Amino acid sequence: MAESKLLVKGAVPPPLDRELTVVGKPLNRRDAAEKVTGQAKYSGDMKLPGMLYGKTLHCPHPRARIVRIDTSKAEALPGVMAVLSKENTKGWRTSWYEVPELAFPELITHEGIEVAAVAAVDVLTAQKAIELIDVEYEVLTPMLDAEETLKAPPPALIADEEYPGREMFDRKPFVIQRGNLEKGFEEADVIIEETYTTQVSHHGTIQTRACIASWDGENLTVWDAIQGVWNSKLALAKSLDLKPENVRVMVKYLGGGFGSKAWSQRITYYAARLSMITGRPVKMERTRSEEFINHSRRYDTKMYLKMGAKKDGTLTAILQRAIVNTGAAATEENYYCRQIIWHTANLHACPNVYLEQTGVYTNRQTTGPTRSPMNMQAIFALESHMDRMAVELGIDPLDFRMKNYATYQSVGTAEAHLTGDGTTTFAAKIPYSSKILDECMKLATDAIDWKKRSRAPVVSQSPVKRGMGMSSYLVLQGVGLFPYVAEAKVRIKHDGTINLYVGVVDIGGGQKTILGMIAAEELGVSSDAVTVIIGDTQDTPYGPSCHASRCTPEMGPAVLQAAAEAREKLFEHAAILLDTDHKRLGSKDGIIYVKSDPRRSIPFKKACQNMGVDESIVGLGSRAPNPAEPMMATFGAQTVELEVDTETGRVTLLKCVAAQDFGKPINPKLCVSQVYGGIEFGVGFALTEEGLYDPKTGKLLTGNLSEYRMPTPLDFPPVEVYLPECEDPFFAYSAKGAGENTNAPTPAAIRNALYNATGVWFNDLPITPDKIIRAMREGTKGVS
Amino acid sequence: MKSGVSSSGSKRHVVLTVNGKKVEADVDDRMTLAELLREELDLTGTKVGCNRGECGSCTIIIDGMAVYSCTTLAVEAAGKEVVTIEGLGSGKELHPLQKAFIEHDALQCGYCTPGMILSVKALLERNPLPTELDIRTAIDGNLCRCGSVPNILEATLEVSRKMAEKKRS
Amino acid sequence: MLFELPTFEYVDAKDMAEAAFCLHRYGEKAKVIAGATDLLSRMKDRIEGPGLKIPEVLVNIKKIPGMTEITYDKQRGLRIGAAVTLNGLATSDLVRQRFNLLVQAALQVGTTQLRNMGTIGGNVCQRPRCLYFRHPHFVCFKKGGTKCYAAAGEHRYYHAIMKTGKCVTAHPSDMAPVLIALKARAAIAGAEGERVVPFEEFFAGSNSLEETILKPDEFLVAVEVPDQHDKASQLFLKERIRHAADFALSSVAVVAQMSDGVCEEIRVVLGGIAPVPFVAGALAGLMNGRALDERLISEAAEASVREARPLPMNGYKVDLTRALVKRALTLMRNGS
Repeated sequence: MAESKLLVKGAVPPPLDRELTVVGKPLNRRDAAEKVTGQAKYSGDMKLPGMLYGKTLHCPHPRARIVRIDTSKAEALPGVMAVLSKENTKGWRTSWYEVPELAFPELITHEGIEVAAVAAVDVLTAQKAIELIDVEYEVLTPMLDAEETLKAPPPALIADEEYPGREMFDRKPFVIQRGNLEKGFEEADVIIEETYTTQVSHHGTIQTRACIASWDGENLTVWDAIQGVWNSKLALAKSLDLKPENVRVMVKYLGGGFGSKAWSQRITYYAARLSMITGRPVKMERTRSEEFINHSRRYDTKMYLKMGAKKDGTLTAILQRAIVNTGAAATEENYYCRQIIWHTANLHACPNVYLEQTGVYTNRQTTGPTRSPMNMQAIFALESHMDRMAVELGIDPLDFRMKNYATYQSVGTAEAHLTGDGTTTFAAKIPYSSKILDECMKLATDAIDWKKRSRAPVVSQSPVKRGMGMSSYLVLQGVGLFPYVAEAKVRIKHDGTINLYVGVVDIGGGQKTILGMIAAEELGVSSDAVTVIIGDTQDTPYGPSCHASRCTPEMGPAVLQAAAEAREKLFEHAAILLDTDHKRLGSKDGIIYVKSDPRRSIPFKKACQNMGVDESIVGLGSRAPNPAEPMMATFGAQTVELEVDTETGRVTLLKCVAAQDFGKPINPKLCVSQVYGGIEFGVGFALTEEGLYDPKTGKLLTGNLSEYRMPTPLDFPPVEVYLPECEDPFFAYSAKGAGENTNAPTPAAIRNALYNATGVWFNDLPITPDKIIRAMREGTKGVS
Repeated sequence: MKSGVSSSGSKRHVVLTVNGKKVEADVDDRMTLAELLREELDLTGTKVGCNRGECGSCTIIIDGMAVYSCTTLAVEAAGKEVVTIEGLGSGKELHPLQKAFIEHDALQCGYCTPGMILSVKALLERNPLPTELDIRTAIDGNLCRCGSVPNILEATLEVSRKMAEKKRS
Repeated sequence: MLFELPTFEYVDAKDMAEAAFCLHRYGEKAKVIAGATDLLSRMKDRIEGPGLKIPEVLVNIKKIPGMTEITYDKQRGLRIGAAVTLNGLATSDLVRQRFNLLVQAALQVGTTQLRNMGTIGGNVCQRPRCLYFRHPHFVCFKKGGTKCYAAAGEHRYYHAIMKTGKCVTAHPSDMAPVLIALKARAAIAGAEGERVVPFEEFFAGSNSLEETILKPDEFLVAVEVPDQHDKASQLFLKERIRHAADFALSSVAVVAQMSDGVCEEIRVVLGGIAPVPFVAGALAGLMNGRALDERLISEAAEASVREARPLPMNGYKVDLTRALVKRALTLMRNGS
């Protein structure tokens, strides 16, 4: 291993000094057997004795005030054990992703916010009780479209007390600038401007949110469908005025998160409070339509880009103005003020930029983490525009990107999250911890036979045209973001059992397997020898929520350190048995041996037996904060070959190639699965998914999976994946994050391939058949 | 009370076969087969992701056909042979499809997986040597948001090839 | 999210008389079910209004003799019980050989599970996909309200480009246009006995609360398809957003009898673009007796959408439909 820059607190583990035997192997997913047999119990599958069922009543208006709410008939219904509303929960706050919200606000700021919750002996009674609740609303005019909203002054009746912090970003432009934009455009031989729009989209997890909360008079136990147990535990404790040690949160299996379940949301708090009132466990589950109208979504955006470049392809200037419809967001935790422009500033090297991003508060649903929350939109616009420029310049899109390859980053992660001052000048040259984007671009284009790509759209008689396109990207890694603590514990017992305790959740990305493999490698045992205790705040140290693709990069070093510490302690026992100094020992494949003379060895288990029967060895690990430099990001490129029927608008994806720089995959099999997942999202976002609202009332019309069109297996393209490797000493075994770094480039690659096929630039997502047909008729560019 | 549903009005007695075993239950007319399986019989391997027949996670096999259990009335399952994910494999030995799904990582979060496996099983029973397009079509009603489709195709093709080889030898 | 269905009583009808009696007795409170895939979802969503009641009695017609059978004889043609599943239809050798159009359409409906559960009767009697119709909070004209929300609202995908009245949604069925193209008839049973109605007259227009002419006590018993000419070509094309599951943006059903490149009899029915599947009647006059060459095909494609008056956001359907008609006729000419 390279000299240790590994971000751990305290002593850096000594290097392994041997080839890897576990990390890098395509081992089977640990929890696969339970999942394929149906034995895995997700939160909605669980039942507890005496359990009550909860249901919620939500407001059908995007903007309204509760004039009167009468729950008396519901309370009187036999079988109803408790009812909550604003009447009996004054001042009670829950929290969503750091944002404190009133549990039952009087002022409703988006459709779907709850106005009451009931707990009853069975589901039918709970449903009946909900129907008996009488609510009178004053329906207010909602703010819906971002641009329209910007034209009018902010309405007087904004619910400031419910959404503290909105004033930090609402209608406020945040700017990243460097160099001299005017001069940059003067130097340009070619200048192109264009506007791109992206739609509302949803996470579409197959499991909807479901939880059970159980209060026994002193302790609150919660089973939930969430991506983080520790953040939920602390948030629940705070909201319910409990000591954190009296709150336990568990997630053994999660049916998809993608950010929507970054931590507990309102129904968990309701269930907990109802359980505390009734003394019985309370189960609450969202229906699919509730999941759509109540939950977070991906923000719709409008992005204007103007780029200038010299004849030889050197970028000289980028001007961007992005408007983001943030919905009823609050504080910068719901909305990342610079996330779009950060990507524009950093993907390609351009000395002069002026990039502006404005969030607009409206009465649409808010957001939170959403698989590449604004990266996806940003990359779509940027990489689409790069191709536009390339064509105008007469330069191959691959060559154009290589020409402007960014060897340095100019805006760091921390800066991306600055609030306060709107305009910031970033002229830094921050090196990367690792970056092989050029290799990725080469791989992705070679694999699709890029040379075959015609420079100009092919003129042929057939209405079915073929084309190829590419996109590159970088992604702001979540790593090192608040709250930042990532800890791990390893315990080795006298009988040889090894437990790894990690306070994170396996959200389907294989975190359980990956972290177990890291521990196993460091300890020198097989992966099977390590039992991973995960998804439970009991017995585990603090772990971050598994979003922002942060789990492997943040927990990796902590797990590595914990395992190494435990190993070194065990070596002290082994040293006695092998009659040598513990510093001379190594371990591999379950054997502890003297490095200079490997024949002198003992089995791992034997060393353990040297402990006292009731003794155990504990190793602890903790990740250190990110340094100011270098910049940590992941990169990649994707290429797409497709056919489009210009008369029917039908797009058939023939092949997608993805070349992703994740550093080094701990488990390539699981990494490839992540790439497939990203492409699923990317294809849907590019071609079929759209959240539609009624223009008059602002109500969501696509609250089901028939209208919210996620790719079916017949829409999923053939995919080839390349995972080129590079060293990155800041991460355990050079493993960076993977989850979100796979869906950002797909839409631009598809759109650029469509241009290559048809000669039409599609700048408005999703590119549905109607847009293609209309564009072919109009002969210029695709408009909505 | 197992089901979390109060009985109002008379119930109907149904007899059906689930995973090869005879099952009897008293059900409301309004009860869906998914509710019968999950709430009365405690077979929670069958998931409910949308309750509208739009996601496929509730897929089970009735009389050899893959159907949405969330949109099948429990009373209409009377006299039928129902296979759920719990009916695959026997005790310690996993079904070849389950083994292949594990080997090929044809799952991630696992929520669509029981339904996927059953859709594929139903396919292989009527078409033992499917093409990739046949498999995609057989699972066209099973949404997977995690992106396991390519691996599901690989796993299924491998199982069908192995079954064919076994037959030949 | 379980237990979303409202309370209802389930009745197994043992014969047509019992089913009709139930419907007659309970009126708008009763509905027949076969596959039930659409009805149960609407009940769970509580789609109702002054003119649309959530049923309290569901009458199962699958056990009525003949309902799940397919029979054929040369004189009477094909008789398909209304409760034959789409998959049952698609896997019937008989249907595949002589009435291939039905199979082409059936295979493009929904998903595998829906084809296993859904029936030909259900597909033909299904309700619109308009987002407002399908949303419990919009009591539109079709539910007995006074307004159409789609006309000035969201109407890109499932709405009509012609023949609209109070309601602007398009009929979403794939089987309906093919049955009309095959000159099939609907065998109906009710409290007053049985009757047969050509499918061309089975659908009610945009000003009707119901999409079919079935009276409250009537239900579809079977589909009767006359024997097709040996030389008839049958083709169904459908375009949608995704490659599965979705309803038609536009569909075309063509039955053509050709003789040495000359049209003897040609029938074109368009789906997904009008409140009722649209018989492009003008085409018969235009095409019969003429050679099916490129020029005629273009003329026919143009004629098929001549009556189109699209809504502000669905004009693309005119181009799409024109292209589909042209494509279908071209494929017929090339002998596929």
